[in-house]
Amino acid sequence: MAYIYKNGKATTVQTSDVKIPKRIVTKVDLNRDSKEIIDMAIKSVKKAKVKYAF
Amino acid sequence: MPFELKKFSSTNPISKLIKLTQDDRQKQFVKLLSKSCQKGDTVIYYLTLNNDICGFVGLSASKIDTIPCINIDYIYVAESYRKIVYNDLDNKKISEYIMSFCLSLSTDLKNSIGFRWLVLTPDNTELEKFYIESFKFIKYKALKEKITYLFIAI
Repeated sequence: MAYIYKNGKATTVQTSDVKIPKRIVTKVDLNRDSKEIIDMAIKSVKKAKVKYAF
Repeated sequence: MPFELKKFSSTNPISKLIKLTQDDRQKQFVKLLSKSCQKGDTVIYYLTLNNDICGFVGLSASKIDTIPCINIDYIYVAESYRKIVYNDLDNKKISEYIMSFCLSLSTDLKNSIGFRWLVLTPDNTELEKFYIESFKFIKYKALKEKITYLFIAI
């Protein structure tokens, strides 16, 4: 499901029937930057002075 | 601690979220997201500063093609909190902190349930640029639906 704005209205669209080309799947799965970005995000969330109230 | 992260789950938070914006387009997204939260399809995490809601994100499970994903339904930062870097958020803006939280949570979840990607559909090209430059999302524009998807493998 994706939230989009179409014809002046916010609506949802199904995403399960979207076909992703193989080159994009490979590009996402092999994206070398993602691991580094995620590691940085995890560290940053740990360092942030935020009370997790859930 | 002045910043707190809380969540709405299986409730309708519209009365608390709708007042954060005067923009009709954003109000429509908030209504849609709140309904989805009430149904249990979406969990909304919201950040408060001294009990004032400064931003929120709705997360749900989805499938793109055959790939199980965590979906960022909608991210919103209240106007008065935008573009400010906070020491308490590890020198990040609220949008950056919320996205970092989504990545961190997704990593935790991946250890418990199977999914591969975090996905979002940016509301405009400025946001698209921000997510690609700051978080290295990979873009795919579905020609048929003319929807831009951004993916990052978890």
